[in-house]
Amino acid sequence: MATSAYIHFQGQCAEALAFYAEVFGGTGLQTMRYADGPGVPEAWTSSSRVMHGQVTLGDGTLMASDFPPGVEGEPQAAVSVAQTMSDPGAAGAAFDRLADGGSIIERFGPTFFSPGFGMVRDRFGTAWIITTDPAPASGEEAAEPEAYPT
Amino acid sequence: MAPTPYLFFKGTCEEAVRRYAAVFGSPEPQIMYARDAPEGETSGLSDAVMHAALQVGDGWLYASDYSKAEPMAGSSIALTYPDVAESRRVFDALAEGGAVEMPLSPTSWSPGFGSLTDRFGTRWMIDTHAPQPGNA
Repeated sequence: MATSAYIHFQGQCAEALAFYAEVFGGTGLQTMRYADGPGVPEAWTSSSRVMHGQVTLGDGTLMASDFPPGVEGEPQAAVSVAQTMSDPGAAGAAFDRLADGGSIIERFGPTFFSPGFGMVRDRFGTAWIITTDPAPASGEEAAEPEAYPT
Repeated sequence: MAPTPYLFFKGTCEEAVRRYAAVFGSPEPQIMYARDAPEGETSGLSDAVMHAALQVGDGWLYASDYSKAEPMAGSSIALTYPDVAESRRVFDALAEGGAVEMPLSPTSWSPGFGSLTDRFGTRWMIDTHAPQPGNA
């Protein structure tokens, strides 16, 4: 069992998940609408809001929904989705996509703990922490067994 | 890598993470304090947590302290257990001193689902998915 972030939107869930699938090369995108739920209130049947949605990013699942029809709900606060990538270039590119129309919290760049790290709130209100593994991602030398001390 | 929830606390990060470790039976959490960061990398030499990582089942939970952290809103941490007894144990442990939003009970999709806000302000959704008979 893994820990999944379950994030809520105010009507933009389907659009946001499709965007995240595109940015991270996600798979298995699915959304179920309130209107399609069993025995839902009459007022929900014309709503396009998402009751449950999910997308696989890397080897984990991001889950999301819209607040129910008629419920305004609150913007996300005090939580971010951390996504670690192996290549700083790809991480930087994902960061830039997320920052488009959003707001940068901390610019993407090298830090003492990561060759590529940044924080951004995207245009749908989701906060992301994009990190790159400190381990060499593609250095051929690092992959050579003789590089290790004996 | 999996998308991992990252929580922000206003000074209670270490207490919360250690409590979660006890509830989930996790290995000792990895905690890096602000005072241990390289010089010039943080503003305070305090007991504040700069980064904490806690293994929960096959996944991770990350957290830190942030002096301007707002109460958690608009999201939850979702955990799914294979049987209702385990869901119930975790739900009740997290609910101690917190506020239950939806009591753990059967729903159209699950034999046991509930949601709550724990005493540290973290919002949880606990769900149950029994393994398929063929895969059990």
